[in-house]
Amino acid sequence: MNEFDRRWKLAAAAAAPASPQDSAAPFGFATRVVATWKSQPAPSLNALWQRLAWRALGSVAAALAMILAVGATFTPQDDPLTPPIEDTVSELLWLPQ
Amino acid sequence: MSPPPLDVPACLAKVRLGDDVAARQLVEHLYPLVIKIVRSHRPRRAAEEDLAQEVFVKLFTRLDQYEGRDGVPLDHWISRVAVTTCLDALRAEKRRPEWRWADLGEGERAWVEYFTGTEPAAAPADAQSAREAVELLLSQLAPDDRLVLTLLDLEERSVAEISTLTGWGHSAVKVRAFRARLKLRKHALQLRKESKL
Repeated sequence: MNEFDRRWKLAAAAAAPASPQDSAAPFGFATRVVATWKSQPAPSLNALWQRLAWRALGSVAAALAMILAVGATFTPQDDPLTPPIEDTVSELLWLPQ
Repeated sequence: MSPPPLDVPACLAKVRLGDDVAARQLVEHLYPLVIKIVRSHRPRRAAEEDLAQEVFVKLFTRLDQYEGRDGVPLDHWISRVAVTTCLDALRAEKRRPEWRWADLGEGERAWVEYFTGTEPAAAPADAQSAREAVELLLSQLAPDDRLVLTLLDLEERSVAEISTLTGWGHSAVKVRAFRARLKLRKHALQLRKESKL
């Protein structure tokens, strides 16, 4: 830990007890909160669909990125499978049985 | 004689049925926890009561999401809602305040000089000034940096707790805190440099 970090932590420790401690809910606060909650419109089907669509889009994007990354990693420099396949095809088609 | 402790599960069941009295009881029960978080993390210009109200309204409107989380205490869930609400409010601030040396009081200057000093020195004794200087420097940071340092250094929460509250991984919390302290140092040094001009 460098000197700045040490002094910063000392100040942070000194600062913590100075925060106000009064924590009872002010008069009428709970009533106001409940009234606001009750006045909120119910979430529409459209909003729900939109939220799910964004999540699905995120998942698809992540899957696509992963597939591209895996594909890029495994792209062969030269194509070792080509000659055997070509041989097999030529044997089947052109060579006499 | 103190009132009996609130039966939270029974209260939640009533709130789900739309009981106003139970909802008010729940607000009064959770208010100390919520207001403590809001006071620690709100933007300077935001009213703490407005933010606390926003947290409670989110609590009620998203109560169905909590239902499915077996084993997660309500306190943890509401703490996370409160932290993310404050973080959203910090992010919504158009721009962060820019402080000049001339804006600082005597006590705040003494603390900034202490932070940036390299020679051995005794820390100033004024706790209120310490609070103001710390808040001043934190207000210059990006919301995520400010949040992580407040939780880690001021509230002395563990990395695991911060990870639970924010949803960030353990390594992300440590790296962010490290970088945030570097930025904090840069801001403090910049202020100190102005004092010498």
